[in-house]
Amino acid sequence: MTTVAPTRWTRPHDTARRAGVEAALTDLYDQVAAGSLVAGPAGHALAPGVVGRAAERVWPGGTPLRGLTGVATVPLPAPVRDADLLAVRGLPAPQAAGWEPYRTWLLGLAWLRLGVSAGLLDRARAHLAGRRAADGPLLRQQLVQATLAEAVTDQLTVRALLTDADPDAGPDAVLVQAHHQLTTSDHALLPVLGATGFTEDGPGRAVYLSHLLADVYLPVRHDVPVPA
Amino acid sequence: MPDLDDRLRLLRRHARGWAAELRPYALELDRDPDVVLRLLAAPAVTHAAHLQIPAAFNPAPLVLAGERFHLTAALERVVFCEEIAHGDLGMMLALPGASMSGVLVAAIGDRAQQEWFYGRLLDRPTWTFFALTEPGGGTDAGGLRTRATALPDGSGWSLTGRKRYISNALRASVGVVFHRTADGPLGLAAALVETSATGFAAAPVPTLGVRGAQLGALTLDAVPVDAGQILGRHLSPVRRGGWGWQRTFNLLRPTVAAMAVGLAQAACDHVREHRRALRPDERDALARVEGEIEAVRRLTRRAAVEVDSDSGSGHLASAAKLRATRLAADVTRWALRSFGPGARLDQPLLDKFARDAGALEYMEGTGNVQRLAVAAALDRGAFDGYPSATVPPTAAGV
Ligand SMILES: Cc1cc2nc3c(=O)[nH]c(=O)nc-3n(C[C@H](O)[C@H](O)[C@H](O)COP(=O)(O)OP(=O)(O)OC[C@H]3O[C@@H](n4cnc5c(N)ncnc54)[C@H](O)[C@@H]3O)c2cc1C
Repeated sequence: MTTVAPTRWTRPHDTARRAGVEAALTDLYDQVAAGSLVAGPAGHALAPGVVGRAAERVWPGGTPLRGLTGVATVPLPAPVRDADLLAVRGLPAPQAAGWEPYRTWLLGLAWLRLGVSAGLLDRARAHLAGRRAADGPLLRQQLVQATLAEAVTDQLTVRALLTDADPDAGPDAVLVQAHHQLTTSDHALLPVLGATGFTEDGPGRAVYLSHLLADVYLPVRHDVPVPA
Repeated sequence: MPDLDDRLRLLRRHARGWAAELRPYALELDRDPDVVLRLLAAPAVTHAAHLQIPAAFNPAPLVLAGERFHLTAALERVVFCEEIAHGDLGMMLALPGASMSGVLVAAIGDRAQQEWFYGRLLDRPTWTFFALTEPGGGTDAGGLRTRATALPDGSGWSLTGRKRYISNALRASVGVVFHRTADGPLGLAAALVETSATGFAAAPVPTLGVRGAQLGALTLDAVPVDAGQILGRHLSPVRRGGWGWQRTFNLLRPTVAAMAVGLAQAACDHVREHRRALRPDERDALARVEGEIEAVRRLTRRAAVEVDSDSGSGHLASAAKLRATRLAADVTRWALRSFGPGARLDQPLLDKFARDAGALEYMEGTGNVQRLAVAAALDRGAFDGYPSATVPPTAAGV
């Protein structure tokens, strides 16, 4: 597989596509936040375990964690409770310190999540190639092909958008929309895997983590406010 | 008919109360499927364990204000299951009782098999399993590989194969194993099997949602089966195979739709209860969601009435299941969004509801299976008010 992401986001994208979300998130954290906890719009963070346990500051803004009150770790949802991730709430949200850098985070996260979606499509195609319906391979059923076609079209659309968004992150509304499109597209694609996509350790796990990241980091509204 | 009569309203009111008692355990069950074992005295659990048994075999049905309920009619089950799923879908799928196997035993079992099976259930809370899906595929039941081989001494068969994604596989003590005795559609059969049988093993397959259902993978390694265990041995091969199975699925499908409606309503109610100050646009969205839920609820009840009058008529049930699955997925995601960033961490119950909704796609036939069934029904003019299609002959066809 040749990478499709711009150099800066190659690692989070490719790692998410091939290896897994935790490793890709570590790459993204390295790229953007250098050891700090990245706070989302409502003060939550989802960080790789190693980063989370060692972090001393909040990104963006650099507020020291020590001295902050009301910060608490949150138990991970049951199916991913063993993931090497740390979930936190009660951090200062980015508006105080910088929506500008936060856009970069949203862009990198979009590349990571596109990698997850592409990996899902890879896995779905490989899985379907080996399965049969009553009248031939599942991969050749038209309803299945329609789903795959929609998924790759969504992914190409998002990729086009993200590629042009780099390097000077385009309008925020567009970026947030790209995230939503990935989420919707994953939901439509996942069922082609059948129950394999619904197991705790199957291809649905990465998709769930991707959606958890979107839940934590996407602003409610499309227009990320720019500080005056 | 979608409005319930007084009798069914009574059932619904009670079921709602029983379901509310289960809700506090929903997240605990998500983490530990054994939680249901501690709830055997809860009314929802007791009733599920002792109902859905045909009147001829159940001397002690549920009696509410003088009304008797066996929960064998699809409409009764739809009312019951919607409410219990409103309490918690994971719990609904973790309940002991006749469940899917019970419907099949009623449809194609002979009298002795029915007495034995339902007798076991009435004896003590018993979980049952229904093993159709195999690792190689769930949709194409005709492609089943699990095989019953006749023993040389003629004393019975030996059952070998693998099953996957089987609900309650680890806590069940008895259930049905779908298999084949020969190649081709007439070689399909189903056998009553006890999980204590030699050669029977079950291992957990943890899932993203409805974790209470504790899915399992079964290995059957030369499990002995005698003639008395083969369901429908008194019927023709067609009736005990595809025909009988189809009727069973038709009867079960509205219940899955009802569970989806219950889950959607639960997510919607969670928003109403926990988001006190709604903006006007949010109030509008809530009203729209309520309307969508009510529409699918009515479609589901109609589907139940239809299969109750003719168990061969499952196309409305396919439509209901298709729509209800999407409803549950959409409403649970909308509910999460309405709490803003971090909702999956701050509202773990809603996160669970959204994960649980994902299961519905696969139960009782996937979305594509329902789409194909609805398209075929439309084609043959099965839906009231929609005549069958007339396709003009093409040049190549004449
Ligand atoms: C919570 C849960 C509980 C379950 N409980 C049970 C149980 O108790 N007993 C049991 O036997 N099984 C159970 N299952 C398994 C379930 O029945 C299967 O997952 C389902 O039948 C689909 O089979 P599959 O997963 O093998 O997918 P596949 O059959 O491999 O299908 C994969 C994809 O291809 C699509 N597809 C298949 N054929 C066609 C076609 N001809 N045209 C177009 N598209 C097609 C499907 O729609 C699906 O999207 C359960 C599953 C879940 C998630």
